[in-house]
Amino acid sequence: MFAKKLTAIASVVTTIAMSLAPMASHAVTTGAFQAGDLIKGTQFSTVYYFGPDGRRYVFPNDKTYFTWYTDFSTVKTISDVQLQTIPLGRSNITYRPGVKMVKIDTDPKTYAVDQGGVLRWVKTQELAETLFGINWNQRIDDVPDPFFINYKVGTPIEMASEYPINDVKNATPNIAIDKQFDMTMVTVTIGSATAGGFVPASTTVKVGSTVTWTNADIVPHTVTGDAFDSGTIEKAKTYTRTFNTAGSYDYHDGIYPVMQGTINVVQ
Amino acid sequence: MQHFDPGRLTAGFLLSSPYMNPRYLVLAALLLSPLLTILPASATSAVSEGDLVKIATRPDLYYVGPDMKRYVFPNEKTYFTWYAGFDAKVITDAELAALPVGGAVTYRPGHRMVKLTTDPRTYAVDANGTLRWVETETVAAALYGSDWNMKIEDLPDAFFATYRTGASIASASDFVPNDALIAATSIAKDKGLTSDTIPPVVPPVTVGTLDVTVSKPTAQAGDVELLTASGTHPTGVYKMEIFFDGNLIKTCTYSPCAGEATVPTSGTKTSYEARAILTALDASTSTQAVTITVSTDGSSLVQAKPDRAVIRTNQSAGAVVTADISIAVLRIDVYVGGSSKAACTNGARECRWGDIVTDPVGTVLDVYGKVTDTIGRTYTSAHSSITVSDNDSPVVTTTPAKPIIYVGEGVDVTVAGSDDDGITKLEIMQGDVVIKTCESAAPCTVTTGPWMSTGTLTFMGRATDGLSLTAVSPVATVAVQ
Repeated sequence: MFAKKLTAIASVVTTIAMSLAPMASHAVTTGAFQAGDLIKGTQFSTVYYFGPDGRRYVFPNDKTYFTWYTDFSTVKTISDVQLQTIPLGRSNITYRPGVKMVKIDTDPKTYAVDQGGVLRWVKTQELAETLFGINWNQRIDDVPDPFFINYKVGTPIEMASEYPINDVKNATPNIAIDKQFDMTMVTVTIGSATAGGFVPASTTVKVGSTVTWTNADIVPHTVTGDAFDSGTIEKAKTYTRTFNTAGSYDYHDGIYPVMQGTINVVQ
Repeated sequence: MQHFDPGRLTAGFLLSSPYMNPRYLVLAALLLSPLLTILPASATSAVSEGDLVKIATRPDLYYVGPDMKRYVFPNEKTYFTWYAGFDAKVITDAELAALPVGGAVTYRPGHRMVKLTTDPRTYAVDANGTLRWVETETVAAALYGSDWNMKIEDLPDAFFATYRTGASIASASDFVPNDALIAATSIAKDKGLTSDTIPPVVPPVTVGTLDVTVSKPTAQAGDVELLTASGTHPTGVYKMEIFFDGNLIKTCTYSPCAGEATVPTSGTKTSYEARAILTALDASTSTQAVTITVSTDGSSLVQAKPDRAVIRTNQSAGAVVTADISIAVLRIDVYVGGSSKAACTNGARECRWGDIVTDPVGTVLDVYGKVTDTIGRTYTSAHSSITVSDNDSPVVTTTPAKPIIYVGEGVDVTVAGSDDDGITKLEIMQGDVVIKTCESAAPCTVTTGPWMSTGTLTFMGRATDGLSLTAVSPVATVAVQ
């Protein structure tokens, strides 16, 4: 058993997830953000990671957030209707590998975190000291049971060479690599004309990237620009286009022209 | 009734549980001491599947699955969709630690709708934590009654990851909450959990069905196939996937599922596999496959036509092999009597063979054409024959004055024939109908039209020689534009 201080588990998990509050306030942008950005709405202070699949990924608690970011200075604020149009990610954000060890209250094992939320049992105290330094027992975070299921249990660590901690940390510098996202396949969600519209309304991609528009509304929409026209996109269907030339591509919805968007393609 | 382990009972156990009303606690504490001496030794704390368990020092309850893993209740509201009270078995810390965390318990289906904090959509809960968006208020009222908006509970964003999303509900027929509720008799059943240490005693259950069909069981390169898969399963269809030649072409969350695939024009495969995989709500899968045979029998794409079907000995004979425009021609061979007698490699669509035939009367020469395309595929025409006989058949030609005419125009068609025995009759046919007969050897001409609609006109000529042998010409077409 590792000796560590007991932490009281907050009984209402909602307050954990919503306690993330940026230090400074942010001006509401006109909806310009891209895959890999941190976003939040206006009513709640919860911060999400915006993935290339067009989903917003939840940080289960602020401890998870701070293994990846040092502060909230890069968080972009968007309108609540835009935030609501973005579907939630199918998994949550897990700890950055190589930063902390984690444990759950009802299991005596202490785990190091590997890429993709894989937990690897650190078998002995000596091993923990070798990997995490002399203050290893202050580098263990409690993970509430309900969030433990965001992780997968992998092979235990028997020797320090099996988990070269600095390499592991440097090999996953951001969430995109941890979750193995393809940042050249980007998604824009089509919301209703009276709510979010195209989200993100303006986004920047690299030359050669593919953009997929997904109709999340119950009525048909179109994506119509000077150089492209999707035709009718029915509910739950998609339209895909690869952008091979740099430039700024404005588009609108042919059925609801009030909905407008831009794809900025850069080298 | 609580299960008490007398050895571990402390007032602290009761007090630390957040689920207990303080007033009841005092009363229970007073009643406990005398009860302890009266009650027989209670059940041991051995853990079995289906149990709700907890440890003495913590209030959290866990569900034990048949896989002997513990399942977490993310919040009280989730717990209360499955259980009304707090009937839990108290086990030791070590016993709890020996049960690995298997996952989270999701809302019992059909019970309530849920709403995520930062998403305006309302979701119904279907089997195994499947969230299905209820598209409109009308549908919500039809499914849950006029007080439907009292039946929505909040689900924190962070627990969305423990659910999956299914097909949205656009009308009341898409989902029956009561059916879903009845089917979810336990958490284990809802999740489709089975024991992986002891082989389960499987009650006799009708297995699901799965069928996969293709629009063309025999196809040619470049053909578009429609692959259709349909199946059923007693627990319901979760997902259907259709594969063509090992590549996934379509995923559906319902049955039937259909997808299109094009038979490749490159490559040398002679057959392709169309496969369907059905994943049921209990996570079992079934698969079915069907083979598509690639046919290069191009009898419709290659034609072999002898000039004359019947000839005399020592007469010249000939045949033309024509390839359809859809073939990228590399080489054409004309086979006569079983071997290639002429080959053309200039890429033209036609290849002609001609020779003096010296075989005796009665010989039948088999005639067919073979076309090889630029990727090595071969196409074989239907077989024709040239018969050596006492009497040769006439040579007949049909020639329209113009190959293309416009709507409103007419066209002249001329049929000519020749034969060593002389021609006694020439007939001009459009399709199968004789439109003119000439009782002489001179060329026969007819004026047809005016043609008032677009399309293709087919004409043929028939000649009868002096010995009453007849022959027909190749078909001549005129396009009306």
